[in-house]
Amino acid sequence: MKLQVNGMVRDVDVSPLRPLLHVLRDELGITGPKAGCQEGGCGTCTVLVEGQPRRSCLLPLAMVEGAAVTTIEGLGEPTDLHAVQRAFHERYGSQCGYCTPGMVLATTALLERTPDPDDEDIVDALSGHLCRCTGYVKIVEAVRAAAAATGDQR
Amino acid sequence: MPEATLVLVPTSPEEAVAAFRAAAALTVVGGGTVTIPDIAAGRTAPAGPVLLLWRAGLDTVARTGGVVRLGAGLTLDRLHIAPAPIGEVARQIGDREVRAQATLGGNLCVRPLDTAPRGDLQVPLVALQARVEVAGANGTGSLPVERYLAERPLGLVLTVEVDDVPRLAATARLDRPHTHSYTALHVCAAARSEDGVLREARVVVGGLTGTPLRLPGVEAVLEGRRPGEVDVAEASALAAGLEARTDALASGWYRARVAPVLVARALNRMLGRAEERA
Repeated sequence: MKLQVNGMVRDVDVSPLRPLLHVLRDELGITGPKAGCQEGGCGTCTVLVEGQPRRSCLLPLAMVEGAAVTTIEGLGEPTDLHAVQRAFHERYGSQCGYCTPGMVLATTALLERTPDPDDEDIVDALSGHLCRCTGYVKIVEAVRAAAAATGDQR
Repeated sequence: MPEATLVLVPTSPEEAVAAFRAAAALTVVGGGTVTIPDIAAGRTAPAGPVLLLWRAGLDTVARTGGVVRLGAGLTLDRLHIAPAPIGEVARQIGDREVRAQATLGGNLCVRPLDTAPRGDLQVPLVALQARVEVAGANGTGSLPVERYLAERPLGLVLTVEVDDVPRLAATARLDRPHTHSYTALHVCAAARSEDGVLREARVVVGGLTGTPLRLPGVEAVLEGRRPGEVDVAEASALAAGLEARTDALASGWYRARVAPVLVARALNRMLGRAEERA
């Protein structure tokens, strides 16, 4: 089967039932999506599928064949962070970092559909993403900052 | 992960039904939010081929002849178009990412765990007297959701039908401690309003037992009365002392005591909507 990950077409030879998370991590060495609860409950495995946030632990490979998958690795570069990554960095929206890939990708999708989100929009977008470090306050601040930054860019 | 499992991805309802009928045994996957992690973790082994339904064209909505037909493949985030309060209940399941993948058919068919109830949509579907269209080995038929859940006939769920009629409906629930927690207990009340009189009242509790539980005594208090004539305290008291399951979310003791409170809230909301309309 062919997967389009971060702009590159990759061939994988595994069961079409295998969750995308395991294909990314174990077959393609893309470890940004984290293997947290692995049953859709924590959000740290979230990736973008055709721009929409999806739990990669719930998605069998067959469901994403041919679709564009974006992981945290495909969002920005260490020397050229995406606006959402930069906001999380500057606003201390990340501590241990385990939830950060999912948080950042869910935020990226949120700002695509709602460029000027209010707090209710932010909480709705991130309500399924668990963070055991930050208490969420800094994360919400980072999302607001990212929205402001991307708004300025427009 | 069973690498050799045959995976079928039908591209039409007809293909899906044909594949279902051709297999002696198979595992049907709607959205996959329950089944896929179970298979990946080895908690479930597929029985025969796996039938993946998301490209089977079962995500349609049709309104004809006073009936809304909801495809079993509709994802939960699209159920805001369904008769109330189906959308309201769907919004309380998982988070937006899970709701974008989980399906109406999957939520209808899912069974409770020992540790938690599941299938929140079963409750409003019973309250709205919805019918489910099932393709079995020898044909396709329709039966009430209430009966479907009681008998679980072998078949492929294609659509859910709900009468598109003026109706009062409301829900009440225990808040979830977290977005991904299952609902410990919830109630849906619904009734048709004919010339201001409540008809075909249904009061259904989810989470109390393994399947949605109707409360005929409470329904009888509503039946044939005008909203202003209903004594909610009298009605909700009839929900006291019910036998309830104990699991990881709540004890049976707690559920039994909270059920009448939620019944009262649901009735007050439903009757309040009648006053708003008046």
